[in-house]
Amino acid sequence: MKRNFTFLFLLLFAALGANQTFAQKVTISGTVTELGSSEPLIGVTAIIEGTTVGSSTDLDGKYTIHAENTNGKNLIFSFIGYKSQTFTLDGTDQVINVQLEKDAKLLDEVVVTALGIKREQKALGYSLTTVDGGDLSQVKTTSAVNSLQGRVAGVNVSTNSSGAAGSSRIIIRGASSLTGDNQPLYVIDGIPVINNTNGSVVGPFGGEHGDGGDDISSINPDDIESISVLKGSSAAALYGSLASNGVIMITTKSGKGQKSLGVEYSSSYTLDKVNLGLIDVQTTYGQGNNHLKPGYEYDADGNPVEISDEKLAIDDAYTSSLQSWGTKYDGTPVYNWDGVKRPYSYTGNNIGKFYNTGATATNTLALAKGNEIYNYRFSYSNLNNKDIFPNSYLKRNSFSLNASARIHPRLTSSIHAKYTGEKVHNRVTIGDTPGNANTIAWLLPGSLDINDLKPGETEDGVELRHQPSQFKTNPYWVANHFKNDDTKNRITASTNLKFNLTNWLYAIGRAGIDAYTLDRKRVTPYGTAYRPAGELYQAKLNNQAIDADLMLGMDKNLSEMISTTTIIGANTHTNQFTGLSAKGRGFIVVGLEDLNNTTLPEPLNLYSKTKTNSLYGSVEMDYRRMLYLTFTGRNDWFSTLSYPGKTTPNNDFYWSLSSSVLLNEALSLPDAVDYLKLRGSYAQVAGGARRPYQLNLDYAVTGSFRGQSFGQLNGNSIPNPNLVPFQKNELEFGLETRLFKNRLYMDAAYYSNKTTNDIVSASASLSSGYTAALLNIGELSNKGIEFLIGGTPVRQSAFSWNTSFNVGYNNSLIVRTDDEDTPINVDGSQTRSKNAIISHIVGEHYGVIFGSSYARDDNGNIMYDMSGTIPKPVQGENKILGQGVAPLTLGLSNSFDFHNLSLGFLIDGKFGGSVHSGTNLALISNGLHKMTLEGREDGLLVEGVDADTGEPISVTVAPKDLRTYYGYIAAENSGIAEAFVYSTDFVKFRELSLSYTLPKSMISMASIGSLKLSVIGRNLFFLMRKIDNIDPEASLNNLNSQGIERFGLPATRSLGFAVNVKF
Amino acid sequence: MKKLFILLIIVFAAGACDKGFEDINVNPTKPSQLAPSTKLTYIQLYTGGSNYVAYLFWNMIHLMPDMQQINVTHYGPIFSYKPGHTHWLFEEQYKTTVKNVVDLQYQLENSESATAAIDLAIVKVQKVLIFSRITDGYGDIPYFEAGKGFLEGIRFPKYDAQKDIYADMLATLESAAATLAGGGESSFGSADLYYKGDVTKWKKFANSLMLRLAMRMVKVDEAGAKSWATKAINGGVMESNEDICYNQYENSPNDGGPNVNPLTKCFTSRHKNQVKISKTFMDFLKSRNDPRVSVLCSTVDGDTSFDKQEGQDINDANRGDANSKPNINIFGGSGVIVYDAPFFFQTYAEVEFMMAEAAMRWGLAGGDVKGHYENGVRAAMKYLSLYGHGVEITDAQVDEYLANNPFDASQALKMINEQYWVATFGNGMETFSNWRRSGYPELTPLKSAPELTGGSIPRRFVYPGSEKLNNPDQVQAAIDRIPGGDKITSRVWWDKE
Repeated sequence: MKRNFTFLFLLLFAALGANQTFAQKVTISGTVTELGSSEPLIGVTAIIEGTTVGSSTDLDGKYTIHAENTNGKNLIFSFIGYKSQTFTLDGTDQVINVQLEKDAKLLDEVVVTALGIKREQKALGYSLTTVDGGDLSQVKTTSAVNSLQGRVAGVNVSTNSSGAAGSSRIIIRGASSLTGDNQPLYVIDGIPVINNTNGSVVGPFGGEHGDGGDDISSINPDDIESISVLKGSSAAALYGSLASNGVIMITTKSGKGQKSLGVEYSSSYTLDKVNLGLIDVQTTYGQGNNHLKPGYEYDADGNPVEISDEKLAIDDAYTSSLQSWGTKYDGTPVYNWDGVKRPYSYTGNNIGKFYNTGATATNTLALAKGNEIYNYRFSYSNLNNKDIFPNSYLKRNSFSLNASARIHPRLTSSIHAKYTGEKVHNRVTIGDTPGNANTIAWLLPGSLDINDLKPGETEDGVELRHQPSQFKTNPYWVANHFKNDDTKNRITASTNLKFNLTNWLYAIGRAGIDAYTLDRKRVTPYGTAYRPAGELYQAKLNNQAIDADLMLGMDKNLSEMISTTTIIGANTHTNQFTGLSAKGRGFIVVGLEDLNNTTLPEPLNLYSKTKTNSLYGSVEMDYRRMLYLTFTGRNDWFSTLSYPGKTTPNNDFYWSLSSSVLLNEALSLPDAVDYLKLRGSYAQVAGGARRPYQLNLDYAVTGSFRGQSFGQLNGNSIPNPNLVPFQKNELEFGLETRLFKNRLYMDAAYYSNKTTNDIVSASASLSSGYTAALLNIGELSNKGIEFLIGGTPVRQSAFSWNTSFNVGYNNSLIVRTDDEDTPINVDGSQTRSKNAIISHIVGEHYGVIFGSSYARDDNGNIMYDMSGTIPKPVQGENKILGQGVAPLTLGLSNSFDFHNLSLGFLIDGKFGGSVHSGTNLALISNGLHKMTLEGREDGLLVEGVDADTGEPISVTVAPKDLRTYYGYIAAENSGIAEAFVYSTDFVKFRELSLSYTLPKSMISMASIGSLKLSVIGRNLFFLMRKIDNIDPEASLNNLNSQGIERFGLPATRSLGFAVNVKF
Repeated sequence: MKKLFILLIIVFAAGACDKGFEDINVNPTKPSQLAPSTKLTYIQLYTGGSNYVAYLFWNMIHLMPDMQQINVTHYGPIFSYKPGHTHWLFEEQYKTTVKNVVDLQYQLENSESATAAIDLAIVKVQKVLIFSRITDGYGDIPYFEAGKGFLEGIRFPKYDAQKDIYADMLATLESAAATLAGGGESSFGSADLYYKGDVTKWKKFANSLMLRLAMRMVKVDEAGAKSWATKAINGGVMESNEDICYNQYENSPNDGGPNVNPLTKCFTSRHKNQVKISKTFMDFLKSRNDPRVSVLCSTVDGDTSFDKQEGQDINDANRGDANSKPNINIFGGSGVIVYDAPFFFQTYAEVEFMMAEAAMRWGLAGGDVKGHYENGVRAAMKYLSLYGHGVEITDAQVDEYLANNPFDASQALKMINEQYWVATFGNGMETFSNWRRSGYPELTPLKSAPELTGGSIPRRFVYPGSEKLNNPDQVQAAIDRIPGGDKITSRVWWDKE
């Protein structure tokens, strides 16, 4: 590469040198500063009207123009964000010093686009939304990106119900791949960073260690200056294949503009409590089966009597201790699982009793200073989270240093360095995994007190069991003895050099590294019922991404009316993952939880490396600053698609063209219209296979037997030596307007994208030797609209009100899965009830819930199998029961400022999605769900038709048979999945902050610059929801299998306060 | 400027923008090829079953109880005579042994090694062993196109008629046996778990396997059966217990995978008191005063004495009652868990029994029916010593048994195949196949059979649900060819009524 870059430079100079002309003429020079300040303005264009003669100001704001025949001609000064000025020249040498006035109309319209290039908003032919860092740091979340929910139209954020250290799924404008990773690229200060999910809940049995969290969560919200969301392919085109799912660009704060040393301290403390209001289980009937209290049976006459044999009575109490099919609470003493008699009364909500009040404290101290020569900002942040799950916490220390300096009049250098140290103790497991402690908290009958399960162990030091299933682990045993610990040390550092070769030509070199080590230790302790000897898994993982860019930029005015900005560059991106892990089964010496103390530890060496090299370029032209045209092109070469002898391409070229027209400049519009822009773009982007080593066969030595090593073909997926990059094309149109002196703004976008040649894992018959085949065959599309409206309805000196509403709708469609349109069942998406799965079905939306339905006759009556004594709903055909991903998202934010008081809130919602709720399924079949109250005393009337005869039936299911009746519906395999699919529509009062900024007069004595006190809240309440008991947002994983849920942490609400002081 | 850009792209495209990429995309932790011997060890080990759960389902709680050798209490009423979990054999074997043996065959066919021809012949015999066990279970199966997902890009292999599969397997054995008969060296050595690379023993096994396949066809193609049996016997079959094809497992109790005997693992994974010797089997042995009673059976307390052993009725699934009934001793029923028990793919005893039958039917193998029968009984009792742990049946005991239970030529077929039933204890698929072929022993179906199967004992494995999802057209074509459809009561090609 190095040689090529040298060559590139030489070529470039040769090509450009030819254009340069010098002549002896009059000289016009001067300095351009900002009106009302002495700040020099750098890069202001000064051009003689009607010619190509002109110059830009240098780092001191100075310019010089040599020209002839200038008499009577106009010299025009223009600069992004400022009003242009025109001077008439007199034909002699002149010194013209100019003060440019900020253009209020366009004040905030310079945005950071791909590769950190600053562009005028009006020049963009695509949608780009910027979120101010202040919006994210006011009400903090443990993972800053979660705060994007509801703020950006077209961005769909979902978080797992696995607590503060859990991972998130962020999808921009719909998923672009059927089976690949669909999360966006994260770029922090110009460097693409790693965002792995380190373990996820997959499959009906959940994965033993659950959600391992993701990497992007480690960014400190107090360091964020802004987040730009590059939604469409055009916006992201310059990032190439890495950005095929969009880009989230995070710019961290610098010391720019901080003339004297600024010290800023911010602190917030929030308390997280289970939102018990959501959990609406029945509190009338207690433990028991068949409408009997524990320890009771029916006598020959069918009357309930106490079981006379004490042992059998206690046995009954033990086996029924997760069933709430008993009788009405009556306060009489009954046996509990432990043989103790306690009153048969409601003991209170066990979820409320089991979970703690969580707390999150975040403290950030930042120092910043800046002048014309240098600026820097240093910050330290400490986050201390205690999760609601007992003994579970997250601790994070972050250091961040951003510095930049003008080390030579032409050379600017900047560095960004961040260190994050993170420790998670006892990540919470969710789903149907044995170690999921939430299960019993959800299911314990109201007559049993969860506190009686404390401390979770017997006197012999093994798990205390209160019910027969070894796979439902005592929650206190999990909380007190399991370990699921992660320690992560991460360094993200980059350096950036910008060299101004001339006042219109510059070069930028940028290199960055993002590296972390992750130590994991997971202990299933000795004495655990489902793994009596215990187990230990330990891993040391290293992940490293290196990214480097070399760019040349040119700003040239081709004529008075046409100017161009051109960038060409080259990029190389390498990602390397190494690790060692080992699993040991069974502890030899009890109590010593070390790998050396396990039998037969199985070590595993982990390695993967991928590399992408790229060349890219962009040409932007504008005509009279009212018509903008941008062309970009990029060619990516993929290591993952390279293999000796491969004949199909390992690289792809793709381009984008975008344009914007400022109708307010081009046409004469009413005065009320400040700004009216029409934009359109077309872009292609390619994606390589993300995973390496998929092109050819390899083998694995998998064991040894009687001294002979043995080995086999590696992997169950048929490798494909001909894989080529997939293609995604996107067309986008948009309209932006600002009216009434910026009091009202609107932005509407329509997009349509299509992915073809998607690399899918297509099904294969086992008899081929494999379970899947990688094929370049998938096709899917997304069409959607995004709409944003906002403004300042009230703007007075004492009171102002800002409001903003956004809505995004995405319509996804599966076009092709393989030649036979075989549905692709998303990996590990089967529900625990085994009768529904998340599937990509041709002609349907992305990831629908596909599962068993009620069999119905032509009139829609449910058909029942009446051969037994209790009507049994007949399982009908498998059909689409809902979409796992909500297509409609919306957000409404408001802020009110009244003197020093400020009130802000955010409301957001999602519509159109569904979930198969394993939690509600279990609550129903175990008799805790409120729905099961019907018929407890007099029987439940079931109406439908007899499946055999087709005759109408009307049968009353006796109270003692209700459990069996609901058991039929909830049954594994043969049950009715349809009955447990719920709408996830909701509107949530997401965020609240009420701040008071102390008047200057009160604080100036203490040399405090400003002091702000706030009360903050998050997830406070629902304005609307359709599913009961669980959070409509509850999700098992952040993968493509959305729309299934089972036994996550209950929903929480947070309330706290924050202080922000500046010195 | 655009020209410049295009020029640059051309320069780079022609240049080295993907330099080193081909090396990067080779996984350094994984070999790109293995020695044939390393593959063979894997294939041989996995032929016996890699996943004890799979084995548990298709053999221990399906075939062995169906053949009334054992009774798995608690599971009996759940799994007996139901299609249940017989998909495991198919699902396990194709992705382990079939895939890798096809790959190994391809490697050897393209090898220039001096031993390639001999090695290939051995591998082909191994391949026939693998496929014969699958096809005997299901009937028509993917054979010619199987395991070629990568080599030939076949994602949806077609199901071949069992008749064609048998023809090809026999022809393969014939050519392999011919190659092996020519002598020479194999490269496998100790990596060959069955015969340590002994070419002569492989030749005998190839012919013995040919004899087995030949005898399978007696009902459907007796002329063919005779012709292939003749070839097999003339080519040279097993001659003693030294020639048995078996794998001796390892004693590594924590291994959930392939290194331990799957039957032992099944046995210990269930409560020990759930696997019982069936009354049918026990009564057969005890009524003949069979010394194997004290080898194969043991009380829960580890007592192996003849008088203490009592079988459990297959219709009595009562668990509490079963606690006193005998366990399978050789796999650890007496309390010593025998993880390293051998698994027998084919024994010399079976070969002698088949020769006895061939002698009786066609006058082959010297025509000495009684001699072969008695050799078979002797071999079947003597080979049990390979289970180790002091198991030994003396020649005197065998002599006594033969004296007390003399061969009756009028009952030849019955006697031969009843002994076959006892001799293949543990190898459920072989017991099952020979019972279907010969009709012996004459088993009385479960009392609940009328409700479960319409009264008969299952004769086939149904195709896996995964095939119906992932290879629907091909499996449907196969199903359409089965008289009676894809049921456990339908019959495979050679199992003609």
